[in-house]
Amino acid sequence: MEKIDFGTLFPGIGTLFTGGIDVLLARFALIALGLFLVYLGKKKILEPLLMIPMGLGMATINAAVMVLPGGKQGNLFVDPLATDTNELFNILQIDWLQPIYTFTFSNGLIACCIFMGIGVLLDVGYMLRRPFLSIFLALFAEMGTFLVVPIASAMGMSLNDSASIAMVGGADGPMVLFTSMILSKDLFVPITIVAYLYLGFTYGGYPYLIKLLVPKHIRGIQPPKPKNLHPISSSQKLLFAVVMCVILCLLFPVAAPLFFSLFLGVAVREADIAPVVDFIKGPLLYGSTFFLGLLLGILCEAHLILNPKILPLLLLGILALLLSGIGGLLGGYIVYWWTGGKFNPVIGIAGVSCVPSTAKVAQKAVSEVNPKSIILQDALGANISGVITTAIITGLYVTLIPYFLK
Amino acid sequence: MNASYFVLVAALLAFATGFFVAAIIWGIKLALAPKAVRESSKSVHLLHIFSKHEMNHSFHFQADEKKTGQLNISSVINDELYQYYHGKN
Repeated sequence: MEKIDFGTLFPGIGTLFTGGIDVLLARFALIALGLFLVYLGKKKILEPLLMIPMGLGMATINAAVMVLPGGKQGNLFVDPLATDTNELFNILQIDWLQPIYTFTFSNGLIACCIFMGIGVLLDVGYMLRRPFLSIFLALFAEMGTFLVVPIASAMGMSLNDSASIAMVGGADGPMVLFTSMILSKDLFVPITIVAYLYLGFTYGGYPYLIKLLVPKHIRGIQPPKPKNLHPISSSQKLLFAVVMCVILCLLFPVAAPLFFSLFLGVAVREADIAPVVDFIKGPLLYGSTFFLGLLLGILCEAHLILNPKILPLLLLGILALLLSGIGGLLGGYIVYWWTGGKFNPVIGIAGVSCVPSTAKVAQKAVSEVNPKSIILQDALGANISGVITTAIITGLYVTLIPYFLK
Repeated sequence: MNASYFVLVAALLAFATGFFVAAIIWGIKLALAPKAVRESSKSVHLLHIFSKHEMNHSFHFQADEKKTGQLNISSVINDELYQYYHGKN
């Protein structure tokens, strides 16, 4: 009888000691991080719908390492690096998550499904009430998306990678995934994970940023009720979705799947096709978000954090969100000065397009000082505009970068 | 240098596209608004462009006084939102 040693009997443990000390430490670190994310999800400190599958996936994939035929270490979940058609066809029949990765993740379908869900949830009427104000604030709240590109580039990153990590400043997970999959195929997993982890920063960190940059007496300003506002009809919203979709796709065909998904969601909502609305905002949105979290966790193998580019990504991601928050408040201050002190600059931070978190954060910060001051309408307008400006910037980055690399 | 130039171009184009989008939204609003509101809005926006801020302000009030039922719905919405956010108490 052939002798079976402990490492062969329990390959998950055996492979810990055959890959080198750095892989050993990285695997333990990622298992611990995965379990911590599950804890944060359970405590609702971070979004449980994403964190539970992501954390458990991260911990599992670093535990379930085995020796595959041919002596190579791997797992039975997914092989993201398989590109050869024959090899991929074999893997599709072995790795159980490979079909979902290949047919929904690596082609951006999952990001588009989430975007469609966001479209169904958006009431664009808030944006349509005061379009110039909303877009102005949203553009200023993209400061991190712009400024982090030269900063990352100065730190030695390529223009593609710089633009991808800068998109974290837009605070829109599917958009970061879409951009980085097109521009930085090697780094799209860590960049997207950084984006999703840091989105919690908008809840946790932005209230402090508001308190730091907006004095109490300004924070409590009750904006005057606009005089010439009238209800926005569903026909106006539907026409807006249709016209915007066609124009933006005409301008940025590379980002057309994103624009189409978003505006299709808006159009379905405004056309009041109830069964489809229920399907998109229920099973499709929640299912896509769940599998996005699961696949991101599963893709977090130990070799990932051994990449020397990870630490700069962590720093640049948080910097991008911080600068976007500051930019939003700066935009708010410009309107505050323009209107002679009648506008509440806190609304500006809602231009960071983490719908509806930043709008809620803005309202909460204002309510703490003046409970009668209601800024939620303007904040939601800026918030929804933020989704559209982030999509525009995605289109610009993906379209422009090839010309700058020539 | 290359990255800074890229960002400058991207930012300028983003602002231009953003305001283009806002202008289209304004056009859609105007095109589908009820006739009375449309005329009022046109006048208000013309005043925004050609006259001083104080004049706009006074015109707003005149326009509102004529069509209070149609134009001043924001107070209702604010109360509803207040209740939504803080509860009935």
